[in-house]
Amino acid sequence: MSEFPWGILIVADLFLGGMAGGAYIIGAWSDLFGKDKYRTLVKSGIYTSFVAIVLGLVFLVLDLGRFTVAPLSVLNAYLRFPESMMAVGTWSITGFMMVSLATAFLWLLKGNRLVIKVLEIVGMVLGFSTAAYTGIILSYSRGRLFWSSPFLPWLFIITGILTGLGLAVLGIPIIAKFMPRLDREFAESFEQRSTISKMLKTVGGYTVVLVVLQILAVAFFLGSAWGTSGVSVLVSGSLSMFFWAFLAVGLIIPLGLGFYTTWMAKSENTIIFNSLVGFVLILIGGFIIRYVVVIAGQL
Amino acid sequence: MTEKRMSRKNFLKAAGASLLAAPFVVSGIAKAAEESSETLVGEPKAILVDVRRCIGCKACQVACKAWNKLSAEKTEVSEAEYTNPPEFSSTTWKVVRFKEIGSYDSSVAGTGGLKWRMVSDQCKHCLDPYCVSVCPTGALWKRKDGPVLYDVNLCIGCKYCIMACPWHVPQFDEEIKAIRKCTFCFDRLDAGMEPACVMTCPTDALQFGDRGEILEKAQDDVDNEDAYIYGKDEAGGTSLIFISDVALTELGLPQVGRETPAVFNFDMLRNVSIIGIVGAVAMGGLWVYSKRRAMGEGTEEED
Repeated sequence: MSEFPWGILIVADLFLGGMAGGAYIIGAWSDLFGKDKYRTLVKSGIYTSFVAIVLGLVFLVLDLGRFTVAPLSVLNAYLRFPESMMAVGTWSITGFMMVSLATAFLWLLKGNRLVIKVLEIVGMVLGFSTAAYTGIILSYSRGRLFWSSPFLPWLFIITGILTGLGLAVLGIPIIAKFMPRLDREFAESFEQRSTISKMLKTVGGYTVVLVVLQILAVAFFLGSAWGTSGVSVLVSGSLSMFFWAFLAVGLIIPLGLGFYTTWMAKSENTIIFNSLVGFVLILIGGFIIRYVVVIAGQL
Repeated sequence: MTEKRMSRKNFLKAAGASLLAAPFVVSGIAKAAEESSETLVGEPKAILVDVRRCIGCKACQVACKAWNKLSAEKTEVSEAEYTNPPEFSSTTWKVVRFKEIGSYDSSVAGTGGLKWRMVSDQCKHCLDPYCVSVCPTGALWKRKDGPVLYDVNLCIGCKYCIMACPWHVPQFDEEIKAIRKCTFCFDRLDAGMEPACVMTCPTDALQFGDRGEILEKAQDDVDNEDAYIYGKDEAGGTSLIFISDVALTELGLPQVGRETPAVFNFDMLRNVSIIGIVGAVAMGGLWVYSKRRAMGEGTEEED
């Protein structure tokens, strides 16, 4: 990967940053505007967002070449706020990480509901700016014409929210199975298949809307970048296999599964199984689209 | 206005630095500030690259290596051209690009219709550089007299400047783990000398002088003969002015618009916002429409 200045570590950072922002937005949104049946989704979104953003930050720091020579020099990344989008992102990630940690703690310790809700509003703004930064940082890159599209940030924001939704949903069984003592509510609610499947049925509808938005974003982005070498690399060049795999695995199949779980599936187990499979595919697709966009811009 | 902005900038920097309580950061800023204020004087300089005079001897490429003590590297020829090494690297800051235009035709007199040109290429030292605008640490800065400089100790190796430069000039050095690029031989300028590449050029294809004068001379040629100019407006103007009898975009230099970083970034952010607003309005409209339809269906059922 060393042949590209921005390699797999940056792809991982952008993926995790967008997903963390998205998971928090999904969690906070469901808490602020949703009913009580979303409680596990709310908590899962907030817990997993913290894990994802910390991982993202680790990858980002590891990618910084200078880190191995002078580790503390990494702190210089805060200096040119707000002139440099990279510095804006650094502050955004830091702030988001702190708010996400604080919200997670308050949920775990059953803290004051009003404080949680205020934190969730702040965290949603920071989560959104973190997800947006992952795209804007690329579209500000004058030297890479493929990225210089105002649709790219929206593609990444929508991917972030979609994968964040996936992370929040997948977090529920993972916490219930592997970390039941973190929050007992997860294991309890996962036992009640009817509540979970009812929630997943509603979530499936939102997934369909988000996937449609994602398809629109991909179309508009490619349209606006038409004529640059990046587009031909994606559509018919060396990365085309990944790109078409993303369209099939990350969009079309999850779209079908979302339709099926929301409007057709009857049995609780079918709903749960199909939507979990759909979200695993969405996460895979979310990683692939970021990978192909980041690499194609540098070819 | 400028003072206000500066003080806000300094305040933010100071706030960020004190928050982190990292003395090395503060000393780094102080050093950078000291250096830039010391050298923000003098007429903006420029290098004229006259493609019509270049014989492709590569003396400039060698002089650059010699003066800047840059190590040699494994060389290769690309795409049947003589350009070697084919691109900039962390230890190759000057590249003479060889370009063949058209194909040889024995029925045509002289060169047989083939144009063979050489372009001595390097960092363009933009008047308002993209690399400087994206750098999160202030490791890169523009000196008013021309050079775009960098402080390796402030660089964190994020490589954003590599992405931002329209000419792919900054390069990551795996050894020192920071970016490196042409420095306009700022150390020679400070000693009252010309850059090494200009000094060594045997045909005066490279000339050094005040940017205004060089631009005037180049513009004269454009007005009086069939010549093309590059660097006057590209990316808001650069400290390298190319002049040639063939369009520079045909010689391997990219087509670059005249927007400065501030304009480019503002336009980008504005367009991103417009898309967001249009998208939100469309989504809201669809939502209201579907609600109304659902309500309409509801009342019909009641009837």
